[in-house]
Amino acid sequence: MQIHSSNTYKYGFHEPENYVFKSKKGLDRKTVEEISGHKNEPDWMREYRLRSLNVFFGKKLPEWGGDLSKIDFNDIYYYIKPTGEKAKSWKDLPKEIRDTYDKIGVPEAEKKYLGGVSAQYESEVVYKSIQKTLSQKGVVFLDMDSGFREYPDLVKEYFGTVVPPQDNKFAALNSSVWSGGSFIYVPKGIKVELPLQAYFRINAANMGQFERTLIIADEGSFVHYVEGCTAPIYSSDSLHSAVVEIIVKRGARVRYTTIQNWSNNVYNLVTKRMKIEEEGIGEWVDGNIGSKLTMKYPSLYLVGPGARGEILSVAYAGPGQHQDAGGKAMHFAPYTTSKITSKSISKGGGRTSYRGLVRVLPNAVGAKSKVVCDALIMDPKSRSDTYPTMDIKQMESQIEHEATVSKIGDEQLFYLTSRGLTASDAEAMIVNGFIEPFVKELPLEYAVELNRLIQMEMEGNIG
Amino acid sequence: MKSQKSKVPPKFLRKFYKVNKSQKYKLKVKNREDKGKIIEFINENESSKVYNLENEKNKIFLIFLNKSGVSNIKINIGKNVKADILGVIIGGKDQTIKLYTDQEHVKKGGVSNLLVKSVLFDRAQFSYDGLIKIHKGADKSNAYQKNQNLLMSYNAKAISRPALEILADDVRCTHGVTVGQLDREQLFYLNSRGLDDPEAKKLLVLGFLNEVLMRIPDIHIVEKYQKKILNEVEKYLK
Repeated sequence: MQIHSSNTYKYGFHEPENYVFKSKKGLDRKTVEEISGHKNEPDWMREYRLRSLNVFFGKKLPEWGGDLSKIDFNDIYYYIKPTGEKAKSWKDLPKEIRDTYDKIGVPEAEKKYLGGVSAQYESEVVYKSIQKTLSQKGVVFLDMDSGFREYPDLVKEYFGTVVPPQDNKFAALNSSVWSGGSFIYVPKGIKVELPLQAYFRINAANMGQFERTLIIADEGSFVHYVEGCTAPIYSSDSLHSAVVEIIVKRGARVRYTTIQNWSNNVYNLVTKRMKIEEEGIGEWVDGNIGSKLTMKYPSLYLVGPGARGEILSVAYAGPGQHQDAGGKAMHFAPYTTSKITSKSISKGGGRTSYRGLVRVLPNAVGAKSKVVCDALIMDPKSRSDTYPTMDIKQMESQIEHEATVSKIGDEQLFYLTSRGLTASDAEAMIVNGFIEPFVKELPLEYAVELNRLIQMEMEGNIG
Repeated sequence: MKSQKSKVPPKFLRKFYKVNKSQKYKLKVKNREDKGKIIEFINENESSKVYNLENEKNKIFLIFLNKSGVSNIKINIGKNVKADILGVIIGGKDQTIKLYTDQEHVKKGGVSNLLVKSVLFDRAQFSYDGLIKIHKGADKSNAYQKNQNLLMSYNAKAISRPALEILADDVRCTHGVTVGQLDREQLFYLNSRGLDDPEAKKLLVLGFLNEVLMRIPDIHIVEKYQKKILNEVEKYLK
């Protein structure tokens, strides 16, 4: 197996750059002020950005997890605005942007009555359509910048409450240079039947994406948000550092689905957190297939009695990749439950790690948590790690963790090959079966795409 | 020999006492598969030890901790070596017990099987760090790790950090952790049969820890440790 070259990466195409505004490389007060000024932001946000920048400079790079030493923070564009005006409809988009989306299949997706497509091309959301039914119900689905302009009070109330800049170095970085992302507000008792989706792309060399997403689900509401990422390949390393904050109010339910398929040179360092209040349900469905290094641990903060959370995570690491993914469940309140299921596959020298935490605080009487990690190793060059932590401070709780690591059983392979399948088909079939619990939870188009992707990755594995 | 007569233990235990001084002795077993097994006792609460298993193909480690302290055990598992690592931890009062275990599979075909159980009373705190590492080329390795913790008081705490690092592919590794309390229904059942609370709890704790002891194929050691456990548990149950 050789290292992925640009022509083997499925989405490794690249359109000519066409920008209205591009900040200079590097990060200092001036860059941050420039971004803020460009967006005509109020003073408190500019202050917030500058404060976060200081936090960023004050914190050290984490020493655990993957190798971050290769990131050069001074070699990154922190803000790029692609086209001047926001497009009203698909036809108004510039041609090369339309081409890009045609290649990853956005129009088809839209035809399938999806809730609305918001495509993040570079740092700004350039295209967005919201179905009329959504706005009639009072549901707000905007890019973060518009959300900030149109609902300043709502944003000010919740922005940074779930993930403060002090949380970690990359949350601080995002807080100071964020741009784009989604803002969703679902009013009381409203159930959004169709999944809301956004496509993200990085399309300029050395460009970071620092999107910021805020989802507020008011009492008794339901929303499913889907985020899919594909990015073209580049010679130098790119950085993606997003922050996602979700507030699940009493009795509400939020599901957040991600399929991350960045090209193999992207550092994907994301902070995702959900605060779940009384009787609320929060779900993370998280697929990591691309990127050079992913460090992402979606977390559940179960703060109200009876709150429930679930994390379903799949990671695939091919040659040169390191997927350091996992999940965190913090039980603050009585009778809270959580379930974390993680599946990982490493192949061709790839490395997958599960890193997780379950913490039960003394208040959380009757808390229950179950963590299951399964890992598949496809060849002797690959590596798989599991680092779960259980920190239990309440007697009346029930905590379980189990993990297994193995290769594909010879007997399973033999059985399938004896039925006339080629070795690689058999392997792909077994791997698809392995991640079935995850695929089942995806919207149809994503499930189909993921199955194809796995098929593609497994080709020629057994020589 | 005659002068020692009064001190001599029953016949079946004689050999045991002789060899016990070195904390290590050959198991006396009847069935063929356990023959030649060696057991090593790790009772010190402050210790750091590295064991290289090359020639001892079949070995049991029995860790018994009942005092505050940090114990660090690293076991390098050689070619075709089979190792059982058993742990019984009983904590009470304000004790903080820390245990680190490291199962390093450096050569092919090793099997290691770890089972650590803790019972925590009062304000006791137990922190367990366990690593299984399968080095490159250590194919056909099997490694298991299980840590179960029983909290007997609202102030007891258990922290468990198991870890797997696998750098070979033809392996089978699993680990599992549970933290919980005594089953109320079991307790109620025993109460309803006329056992008072401490008595019933004692029985259930012993049952919980027996799973560890039953992996030792020598009944004399099992009985000795059952007594030890009962002594320890009685201290904390009024």
